[in-house]
Amino acid sequence: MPLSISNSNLRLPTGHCRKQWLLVIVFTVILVVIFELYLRSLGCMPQVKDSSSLWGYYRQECDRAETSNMLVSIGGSRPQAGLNPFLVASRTNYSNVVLLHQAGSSFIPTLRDIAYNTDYSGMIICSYHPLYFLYSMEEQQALVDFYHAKYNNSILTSLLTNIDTYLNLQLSSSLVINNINGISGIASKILSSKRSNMKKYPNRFMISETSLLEAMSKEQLSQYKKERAVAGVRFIVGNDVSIEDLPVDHDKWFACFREVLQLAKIIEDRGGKFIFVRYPISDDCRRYEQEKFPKELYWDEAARMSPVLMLHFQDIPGCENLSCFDGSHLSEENANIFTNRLIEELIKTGVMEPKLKIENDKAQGR
Amino acid sequence: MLFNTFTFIFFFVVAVTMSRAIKSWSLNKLFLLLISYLFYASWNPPFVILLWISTIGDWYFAKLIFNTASISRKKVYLFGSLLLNLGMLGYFKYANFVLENFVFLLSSFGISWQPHPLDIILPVGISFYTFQTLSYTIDVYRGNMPPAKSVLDYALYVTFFPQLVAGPIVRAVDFIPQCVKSKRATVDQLSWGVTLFILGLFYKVVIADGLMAGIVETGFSSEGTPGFLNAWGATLSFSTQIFCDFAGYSTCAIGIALCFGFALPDNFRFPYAALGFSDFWRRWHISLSSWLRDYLYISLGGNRRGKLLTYRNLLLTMFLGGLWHGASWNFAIWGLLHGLFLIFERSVYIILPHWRSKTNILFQLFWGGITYICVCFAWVFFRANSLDGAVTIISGMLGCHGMGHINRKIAFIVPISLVIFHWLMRDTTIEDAAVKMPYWLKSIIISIFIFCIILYWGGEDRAFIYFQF
Repeated sequence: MPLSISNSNLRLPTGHCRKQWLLVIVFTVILVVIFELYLRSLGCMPQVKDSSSLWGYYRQECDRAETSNMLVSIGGSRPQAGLNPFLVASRTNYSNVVLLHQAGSSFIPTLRDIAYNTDYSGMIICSYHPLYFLYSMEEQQALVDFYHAKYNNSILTSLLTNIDTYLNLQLSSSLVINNINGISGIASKILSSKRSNMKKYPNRFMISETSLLEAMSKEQLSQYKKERAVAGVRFIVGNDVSIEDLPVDHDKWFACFREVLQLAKIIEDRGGKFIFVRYPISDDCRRYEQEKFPKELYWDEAARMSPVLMLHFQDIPGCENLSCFDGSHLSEENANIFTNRLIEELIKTGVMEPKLKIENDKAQGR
Repeated sequence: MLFNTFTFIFFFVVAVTMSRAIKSWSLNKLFLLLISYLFYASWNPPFVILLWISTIGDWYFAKLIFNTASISRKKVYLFGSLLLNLGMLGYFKYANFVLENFVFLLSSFGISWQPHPLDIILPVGISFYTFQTLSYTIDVYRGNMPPAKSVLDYALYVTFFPQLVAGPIVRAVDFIPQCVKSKRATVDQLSWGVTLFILGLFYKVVIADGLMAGIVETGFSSEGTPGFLNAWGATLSFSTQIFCDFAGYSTCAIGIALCFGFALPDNFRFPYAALGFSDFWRRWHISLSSWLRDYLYISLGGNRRGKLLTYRNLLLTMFLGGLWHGASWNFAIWGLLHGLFLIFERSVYIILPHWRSKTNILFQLFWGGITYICVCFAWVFFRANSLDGAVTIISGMLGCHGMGHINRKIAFIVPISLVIFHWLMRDTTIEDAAVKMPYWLKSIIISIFIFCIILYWGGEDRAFIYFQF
């Protein structure tokens, strides 16, 4: 029965269906294989596509019944590139490391969510950034909302979102072409033929892209780091305020810090552990922070009043002068150094236990 | 369950396979109905109840209208149907908007009142299925069709999953007769259905999300004042994004329905090659514009009561059409602008009647160009986050903030390519073009589409824009 208005069925193209679809399969496979092999020959490796779904996929871990052997790392991009979860899992009693960072955003919405909406009782390592206590940055709230709408809503919605995220994860971690920024990404790879050393693992751990900086002269690199430092602050405070004139309200800062401590207390009260970590920064980033938020006036004073453990990279042996390739992010090599030192410090303070000791204890039936 | 997800593709393949395996037509329809409920429940299971209310309510109202001879009673039952559908739509979609405006109105009289905001979640697709069920009772009331004989056929008409959440808005008179006779998609229907599904995904995944969404988000959310090129880049990109997003959905829906042997009406016909604004609305969201024409514009009197009333009816229809998209003054202004464009066009045709039939290519380019530019201006209100944001972009487009610069060339390349494609295709159809192509060329094009879809697949969760309506 034809419709009263025009429709595709009335104009149906006919014939050659089998031949056509057989060719489609052959051509598609040829295209995928050729581009995949070519991009791999340029040194590109498959890596995951980060998204709200992937964040939510891991956020579910915090809702598990047993979370005491779990470590959740929260913050922006610095911990995402600075804390190697594979090292933590292989060296300590925290075998399940969950990364809930989001680049360029404050941890506070995520912490609020874990404090109020879960019974989480594992460890939280929280990346400290002084501006988070002065400027409201609620970007991570969108991730939290997405999580509650898609993963924590109905069983059906959650099941479908889980399946879909899992399959997307498999696709992007198997095929380079799926995570190369589309047509323009392929074009730029072919044109520049530069080997990229950025990699995002399925668990969202990120090895930073440093290849672009390798070709820079010392002056260019210095200028780049300066611009990055300015851009980093402007990203949070807006374009209208210059870094020199950045207003810093000491009382407001500490009021917000105390609020965050309240959230940390909720987690510690149910048996969890909360640690503030200042990830390494260098060059202009470090200079700006020292000018505006002197360590002695902010970090040290906060550490004195804080019931939770606070570890500053300057106070961790071997990390005082770790260099960041762009002033604020660690390279793969330095991230491993920092993670190892941090683990040693946390074991020394009794917050973590080395894996070997646990295995020995188990073997001896303790 | 979005069309552009693995779970939907799995669902689709299983549904088509099982539907083809079921021999009994009644059982097949029941199967399609159940999977449609499952499809809808994947968003928010309790909202299936709203679908049932709308289905059962209008099923009975239509029967009552048909079975009574009294005109006044027919009117009462029709009013009941309107109240049920528009009441649901009004509560879920417009309650907060009305409340906000009421508070604003009170404050302008110096009365301060701060009510608790209503915590209402908008059920996905409510605007689409309420319009479908409304058209059914109105058609029965007008005597255009008898009520459906089978409640199963009627429920499938309301719920059929390809068109349930974002159209095309199907008329009962077109769909229900398709349910009567047993059907199974032919190989040609299956083949073309899958082709349309891939084309729709290409529109959505590659062009709308992969190429345009980022530029649009940056352009419409950046602080400060955009220059001429920045503002036009963002607006042209949005004109491409909204077309590829919505036409992508419709194309997928039509293709999926075809795989089950059902024909859904065309929803888009290369709208950016429209000559004039009435032509635009014959090419853009055809199922909504024809719905508004048949059930609202004509009910208001159409063009039968003189020039002024015709203009009033055009403005009112487009204003309500704008509000149908969303409870915000931005959508209302977008609708009003289109109403004004239609009035302007009518006035031009009264003064210059030969413009209607001019076939000179230069004139067509001029008139088509004006149409596209005006449509783009109106899109700014549709997309902007606020009225202030829209004014900022418009002033940028008028050059009030300097020339600016081209951040990304594809902000111009892709929209211009799309407009050229629409012009090349304006008097034909995708099907006609496919018929003229050798099968191997079709295979190459489909393969390239699939390859591009793989490139952009996954990543950030991007629902179809029209789901929010």
